[in-house]
Amino acid sequence: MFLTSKRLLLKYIVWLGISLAVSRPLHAEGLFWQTIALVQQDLFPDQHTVPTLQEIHATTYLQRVMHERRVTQEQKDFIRNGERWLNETAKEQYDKHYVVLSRSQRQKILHVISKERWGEQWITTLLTYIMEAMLCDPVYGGNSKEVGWKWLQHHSGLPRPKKMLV
Amino acid sequence: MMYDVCVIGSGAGGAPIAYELSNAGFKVVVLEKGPYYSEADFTKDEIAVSRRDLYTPLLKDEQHVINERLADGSTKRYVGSEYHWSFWNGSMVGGSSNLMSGFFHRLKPNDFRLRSVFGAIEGANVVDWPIDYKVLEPYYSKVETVIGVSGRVVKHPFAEPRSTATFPYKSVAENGVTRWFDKACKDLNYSSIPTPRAILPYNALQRQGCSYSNFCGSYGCATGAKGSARAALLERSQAEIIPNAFVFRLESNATEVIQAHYYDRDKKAHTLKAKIFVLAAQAVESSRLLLNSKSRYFPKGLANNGSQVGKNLIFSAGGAGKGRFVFEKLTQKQRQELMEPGLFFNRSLQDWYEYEREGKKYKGGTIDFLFEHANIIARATREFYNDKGELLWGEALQEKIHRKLTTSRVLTFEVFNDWLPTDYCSIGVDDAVKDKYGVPVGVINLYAHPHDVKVGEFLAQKAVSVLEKMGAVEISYSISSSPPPNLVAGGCRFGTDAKTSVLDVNCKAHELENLYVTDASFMPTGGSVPYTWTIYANAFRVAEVLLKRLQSTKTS
Ligand SMILES: Cc1cc2nc3c(=O)[nH]c(=O)nc-3n(C[C@H](O)[C@H](O)[C@H](O)COP(=O)(O)OP(=O)(O)OC[C@H]3O[C@@H](n4cnc5c(N)ncnc54)[C@H](O)[C@@H]3O)c2cc1C
Ligand code: SF4
Repeated sequence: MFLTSKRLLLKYIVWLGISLAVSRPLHAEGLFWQTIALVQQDLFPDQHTVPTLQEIHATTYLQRVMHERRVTQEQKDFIRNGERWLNETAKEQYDKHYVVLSRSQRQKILHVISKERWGEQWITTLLTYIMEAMLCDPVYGGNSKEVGWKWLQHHSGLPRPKKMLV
Repeated sequence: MMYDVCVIGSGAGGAPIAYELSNAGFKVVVLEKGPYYSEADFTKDEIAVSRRDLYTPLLKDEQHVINERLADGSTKRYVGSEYHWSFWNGSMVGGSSNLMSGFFHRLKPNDFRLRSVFGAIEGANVVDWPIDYKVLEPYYSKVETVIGVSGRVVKHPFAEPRSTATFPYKSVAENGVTRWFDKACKDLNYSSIPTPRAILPYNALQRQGCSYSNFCGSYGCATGAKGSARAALLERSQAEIIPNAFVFRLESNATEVIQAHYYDRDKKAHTLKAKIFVLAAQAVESSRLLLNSKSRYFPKGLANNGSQVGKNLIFSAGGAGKGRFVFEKLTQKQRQELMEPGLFFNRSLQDWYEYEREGKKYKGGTIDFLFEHANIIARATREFYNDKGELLWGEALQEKIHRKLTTSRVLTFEVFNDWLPTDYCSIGVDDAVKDKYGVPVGVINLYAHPHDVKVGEFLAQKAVSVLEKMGAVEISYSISSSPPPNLVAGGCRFGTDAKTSVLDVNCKAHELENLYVTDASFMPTGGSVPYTWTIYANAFRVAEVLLKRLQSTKTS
């Protein structure tokens, strides 16, 4: 009960746009990105015909996004807080951190959070940045060898950017 | 230095003034709050342009406050940055015309006399314009040749009178699916109209022709084919352009504006003197600047002793819809035609620009048809949910994205009808929220008359009938009272009576001798089309008035 209400409170504050992100110790930072990379994998699994997350550099792409000036602090905080709430749900359900759960347990967690407003929003946010990594111009560090464009038979507009503008 | 003319805002409303007067030898300066991008800077960069809104200010720096009037008469306040609600369009030299799709329509003669033809509507401040179509026609025609409008004249029930038989530029190349559309319209007895575009099909006017880049709307044009205020006018003018110059106050005495105060990129304040000031910062920002320019002569804001500034704000009413063409229902040849990138789908319908229902005459509108924007990231993200509204991920999502994007294509439509002017839709300035310069931000008091949605619904259903006839699936539409931020007008009506308008017939402020407003602020009603052709035409008309004025002062 305490955890749930705490989570509700945190969500509420974030939606009011108040920054909650605090600087984290390094190991926490490593764990954060390990969790994000695994969630990305669970949302967009490797498949024979589909660009892989390695090919589109999905995690490093998101790491860069977290430093972009044109992405709001509120959005960056939400990505960070979402990871924390995800792990709170994993703890509630299995008393374990997300990264040590089995594949089916992780899918169960994703289904649980997708039924909550914040969770649905968090998953669509991560999916959106996966789409960006897969379909951006390669100057942004994703979509290597235009693998995403080839998959969807997309012709980029011309002229293409020569450098990142954001 | 004393300039002859200072233009504030370099878009479709301001640039014709700068072009005409500077090329006639007068000293013209343009103050533009955004940066100067040249054609070499424009690329089809979806991340920067569409996903990070490169061409508009960050809302934490500059924003609007929106007070939405709800059905029960109460008001809900939205601070733009908190709700990610942006009313910015294009902050750069040439303004939002750099980013437009260039679907160009003239107003019709009856748009100038809406009140006389259709009568009063309860709760709406509909008035006739102080000029008629005949006055503006030569300038519509001028826009065709100077800005470069391509098209094909066809007969249809609401075709507006033209002083020339044809467009000066032939239509841009069209996707083969337009033939399916034409056939469906013929079967339904509708008149398919090839939509005129402010796009050069070939090299002309010292600009390159269209390269069919497939990324037109929302993107700057790297060839110069798009008739933006920058490519068509400012780069062919002798005007001095000062980018990154945000005008925050116009200083006046009792009868004249004396100087403009502006901040540069480093927030350093400057002043600039001119004999004549022309304001064209787009409807919301023009009224905001006037309201923020209070003085002992104008305690409620410049040109606002009659309390008219900011009133009767309008947008384009209507909405949008779509239908999907799927490979299963098409031949191999049709599939190829459908997926051909780059070529335009230029079609519109105006059969119901005016219509009757149950013995009552209605002002209707325009339906433009166009392919879904080529932005690939946006298209992929639209597939996140299944038909039941459930969020997808994993293989199910991957399969859906691949299938939808490689074996089908979406044709969209946009409905444009009149947004009735009312007392509840207006522009103000906020007491509490300030922008990064410390200047009170603009307030948008938002209200849509229920009549607007009724007309929009009627038109949307007609559009649906065409998509059905063409064999589209997954047809849907949304008509609502949400305002499109890029199609905005009003706030400084022109008229003959100073008690009910801000500007006179020549768009000069009634209360000042040397202040003109030439963006869409002057429009008392919007017509049922996007506004840019009319903004350009009217600005050319005012430029002619100013030219005569400056020439006569010079002679005397
Ligand atoms: C994506 C998109 C698609 C569009 N498609 C179409 C279309 O197909 N057909 C159509 O008819 N119209 C279309 N439009 C609308 C069209 O662009 C506008 O109607 C038109 O450009 C408005 O001209 P304007 O001069 O009023 O404003 P703008 O062109 O926006 O120019 C105003 C300028 O003033 C500057 N400014 C604002 N405040 C200040 C200040 N205080 N000091 C100095 N400078 C200031 C702004 O930075 C801006 O550059 C589209 C718009 C967009 C964004
Ligand atoms: S080249 Fe043609 S399609 Fe591309 S932006 Fe310019 S006008 Fe539009």
